[in-house]
Amino acid sequence: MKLEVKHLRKEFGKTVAVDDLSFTLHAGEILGMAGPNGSGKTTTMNIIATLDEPTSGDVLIDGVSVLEYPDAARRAIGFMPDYLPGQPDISAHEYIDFFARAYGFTGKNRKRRVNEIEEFTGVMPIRDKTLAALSRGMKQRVSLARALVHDPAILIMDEPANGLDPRARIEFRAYAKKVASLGKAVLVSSHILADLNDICTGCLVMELGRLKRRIEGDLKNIDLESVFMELTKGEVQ
Amino acid sequence: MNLNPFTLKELRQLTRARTITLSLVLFLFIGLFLAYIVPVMSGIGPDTGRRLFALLNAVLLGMSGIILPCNVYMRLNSERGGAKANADFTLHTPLPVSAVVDGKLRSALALMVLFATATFPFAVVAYLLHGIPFDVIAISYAFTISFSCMSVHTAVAVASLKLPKMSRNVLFCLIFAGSAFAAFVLGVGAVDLAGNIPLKNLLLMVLAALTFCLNARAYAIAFLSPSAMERDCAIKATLILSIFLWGVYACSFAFDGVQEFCSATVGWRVISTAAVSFMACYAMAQPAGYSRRILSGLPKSGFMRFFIWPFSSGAANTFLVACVVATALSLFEPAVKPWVDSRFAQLATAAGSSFPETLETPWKTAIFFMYFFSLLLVSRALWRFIARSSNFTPVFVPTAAIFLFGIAQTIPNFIAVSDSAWAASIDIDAVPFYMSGVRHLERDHLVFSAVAFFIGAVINAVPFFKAVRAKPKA
Repeated sequence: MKLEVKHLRKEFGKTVAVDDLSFTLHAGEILGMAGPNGSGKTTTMNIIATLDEPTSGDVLIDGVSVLEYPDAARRAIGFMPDYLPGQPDISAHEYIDFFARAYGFTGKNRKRRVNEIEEFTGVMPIRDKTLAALSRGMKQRVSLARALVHDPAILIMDEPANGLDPRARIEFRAYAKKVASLGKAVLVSSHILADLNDICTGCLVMELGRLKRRIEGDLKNIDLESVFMELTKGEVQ
Repeated sequence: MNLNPFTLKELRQLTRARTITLSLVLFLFIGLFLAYIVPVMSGIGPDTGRRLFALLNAVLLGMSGIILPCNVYMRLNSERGGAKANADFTLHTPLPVSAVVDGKLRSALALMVLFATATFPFAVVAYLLHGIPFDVIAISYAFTISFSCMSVHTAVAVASLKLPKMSRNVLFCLIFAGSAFAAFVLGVGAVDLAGNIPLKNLLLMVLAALTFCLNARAYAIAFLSPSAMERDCAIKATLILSIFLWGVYACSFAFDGVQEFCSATVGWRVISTAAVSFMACYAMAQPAGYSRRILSGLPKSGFMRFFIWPFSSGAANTFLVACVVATALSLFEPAVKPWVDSRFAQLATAAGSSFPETLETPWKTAIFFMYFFSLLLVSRALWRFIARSSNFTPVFVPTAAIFLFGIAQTIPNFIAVSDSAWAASIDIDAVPFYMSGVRHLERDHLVFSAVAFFIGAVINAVPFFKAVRAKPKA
């Protein structure tokens, strides 16, 4: 599996949110996206996840354009947004079951798949709680289960560590590695550079919609914070 | 059979909602109370059943036409984060946005049927008490369910608007404060109305309700959709179905019954309103420019491309479809008139009615045709201008369009207040002449409409050429 982003550009009126962005992502890789607010991370992810259309450029999954075949793309991509709604009268299990139905799972096959994914993401003990009753970390687990229920080849995570306590952050990092070990490609954006340092096999540093640099290799040996400050012209006070 | 997951989810949530359970219990209690109190208070008379059913119907209308839509509104409203956020469930599934809207509508309809079923025992009591025939009961139910359907569709459309939550809530409260009062009055009055209404007028009411619901559904889909291409199919289907429905209604002009209730000009006004409304809805649902997804879905060449192209490309070509529809509508009546005259000549003579008084001459047809097209052309040009300016947001454009459309429909009625014959109200073409006090001759109409049409055509010429030559951007 290969995800290719080619010369992506997105304009909102006179504002250029993403400008000539190109990169590739292969199976088993965890690619981080770092950048200040407004650098185009979420817009890029929305376009890849077929939630938005680019002004120009293309996104290909194994050579097939997500713009031309959005239905096929949605089956290949699991999208985990940075929030989960607190619905008062729907349980975590019903929520995941709903998405399994939406992806066409039926009967025993659906029940088996929902149980599997609840086991994998650690949702099983909290499956009967309503979404409103869950903590932020638990909600992220449910969100991950939702994104993985149809067994996608690519997982996109938009600010997954946002607002998590230290324990939940450690859990999230473990899950991201676990997903990549299954041969899935993971694209993750975060403001917490330490998280990206720990889990990513590569990192895109973006600013004002442009890709400043793609950092390759094991990020554990790189001081990502210094590189980030240097590339985005930030200064430590 | 694959049940729409959204319907299932909504039904689960609605049946668990305390508001709905309490409403049902309260409703049964009120029904029981009325069934006891009405005969006791007024004694058993020839119209006891009628009075009992009228009150029951009013309560049913209140429950299914107010409480249910409120619940649907609050549910969808809470699933949307802010002005730009879509319903969470639409974020990333292979299901189209229409499935979300349909899920909410179907589950509400199922509960509506549940409420209606709960009144059956009381309706039987009312029937046995005499004073109300079976057909009046059936028509009253149809009326109540139509009103409730429209209320639920309105609730979904308002909850889908791309406005901040507070604005949506205020708008919803304004709409439903009026509806609550209207529901009770209409509920009581429905029984009298149902006893006297001709079948053709009933057909008109049902068609109007259906068109309203289809419009509201299309708006909701357009507002909830995260990207343009997902809006196409649902709205296109709505457009075609509505044209078909109003085509059926137009056909009914061949018979004399409708003409007594509704003149041909009013009929044309209704049809043109529907057509312009759908054009506006569809155009608003499109982004300015051309979607690569849409263009890539077109056949590369051949016969099919000719037909699919105008439906599938950007707003400019969609507008062409509206023009084709307008042409078809404009030419429908003159085209079928000879056939109708020969086929139903005896019927028309016997009823003592003439065939529609306007549009029977080629001049009047041409006048109407040009006015109608100029309205479409100017609307489209304005839409393009507004959509391209960064000062006008997606929140502002549809709001302004709805507001302007409302004014356009209301002005003739205001002008008609000073006119004892109400001519301006039923003859929209005459409005400019009424406003300026000029005596309106057919020749003036012709010149005025031709100038308007010419201006509309000129300001749209460049985008039309661009539309025809549009290619997907790589």
